[in-house]
Amino acid sequence: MKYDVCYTDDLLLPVNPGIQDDTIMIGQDTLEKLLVNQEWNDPAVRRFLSSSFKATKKFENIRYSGYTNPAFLVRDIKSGQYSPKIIQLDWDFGAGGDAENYIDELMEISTAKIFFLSGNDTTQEIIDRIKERKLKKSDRVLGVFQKTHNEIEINGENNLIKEIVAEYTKSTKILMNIYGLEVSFFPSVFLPSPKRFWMLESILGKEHIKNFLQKNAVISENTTEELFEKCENKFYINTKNTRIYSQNGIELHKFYEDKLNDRPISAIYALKNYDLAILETAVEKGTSEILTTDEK
Amino acid sequence: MKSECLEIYKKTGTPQDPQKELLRGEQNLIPSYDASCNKFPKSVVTASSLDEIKQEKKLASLWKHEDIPVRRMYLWVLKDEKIFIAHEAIPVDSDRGFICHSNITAGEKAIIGGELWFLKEADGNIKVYINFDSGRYKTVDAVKQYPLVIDLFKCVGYTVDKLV
Repeated sequence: MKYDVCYTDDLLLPVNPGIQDDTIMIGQDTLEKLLVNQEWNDPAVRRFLSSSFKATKKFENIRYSGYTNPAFLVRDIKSGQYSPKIIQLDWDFGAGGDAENYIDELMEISTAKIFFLSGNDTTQEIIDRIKERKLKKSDRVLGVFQKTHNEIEINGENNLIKEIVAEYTKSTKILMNIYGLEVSFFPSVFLPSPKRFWMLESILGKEHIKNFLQKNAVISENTTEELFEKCENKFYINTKNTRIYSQNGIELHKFYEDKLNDRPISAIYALKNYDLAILETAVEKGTSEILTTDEK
Repeated sequence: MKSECLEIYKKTGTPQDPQKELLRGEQNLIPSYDASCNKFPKSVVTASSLDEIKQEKKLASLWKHEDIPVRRMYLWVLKDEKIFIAHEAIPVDSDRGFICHSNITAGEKAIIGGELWFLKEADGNIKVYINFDSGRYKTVDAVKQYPLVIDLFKCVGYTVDKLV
């Protein structure tokens, strides 16, 4: 089942989007194609969409859509055509007024969690307004994030993307039968879907996982970390930081003419710094290239 | 295998069990061919450049196999005085979905393994590129084993180079 995330912003599109009707929902495929266009009404929106798609790509059930006005979103929710789990709402609509005008109605007709996006320097103002309104269902208004051109801005877009992933993982529980045990699987940044559970077995060994699951039958971000913390496997990185070796592949560094760092890294450090797929390759093949963020 | 090649083979190492746990389907035996008798399989998937091979290798490391237009990687294993080669993309009923080294050996002992590509050169000749990437039939002594394995591939008739 798809987990729909909606982004509503009057500056959602490029200057010349080539879209005939911008009053309808704009799907992720279209938005991804539009990212090729460099000239956007608000470059921060382009960067935010690009980061969002990249960060959530591995979670195959997360699907973004966009609206240029909350009125269109309200229309589609009311008609039953659309039922987003998350709504990201730009607070300040140039022509249409503030998103504030739509909060009550969205709260009434939808069960979505809502995040607000603010322009520069208006974040506190919006937080104060939300408090003033004493929304009955305020537990569904999850925060105010700043639209900004600066990636490291506190409470900026990257934090919002993390919040959305966290909401998704919290709400998605999949029951699996593993080694005869009923295990609750929660998607995480390490394992976005149960399809790659076998990679844990490949890296850590079945016995290690089985012993763990017998005590706590949950696979989640926390328990995956715990599994790796308790694992004694080590990995080795070359001094150029371009290649990782598993214990079985350590002799291979001579083939690749690599010098290895003096100290190996722990399995938990490897998990937190490299994609699970890379670790699986390193164990299966003895070694794997380490790719840069751009290459991922 | 020719006797002079067999002499080289015998020096390449001692058979070892797979150095990694076998998961579901990973010891299902798949058909491979003996490169020490038949230099090339009937239909070999060739690469046209080293860049193509390196790009495939990079995507495979990240498990982005769906982004590889044509999968050209083969696996090789030395076992029972033979050089077994098989196309990695062969589907297997396992979570991995395609073969690993133990599918070539049915999980039995082998000396050493790695990956292999056939590169079709401008003159039409095929050159073989190999590495020793295997966590299952791992390298025990790189300095001793690597030159011997490359000599073995040459001895059975390949033009061979290392893929680094």
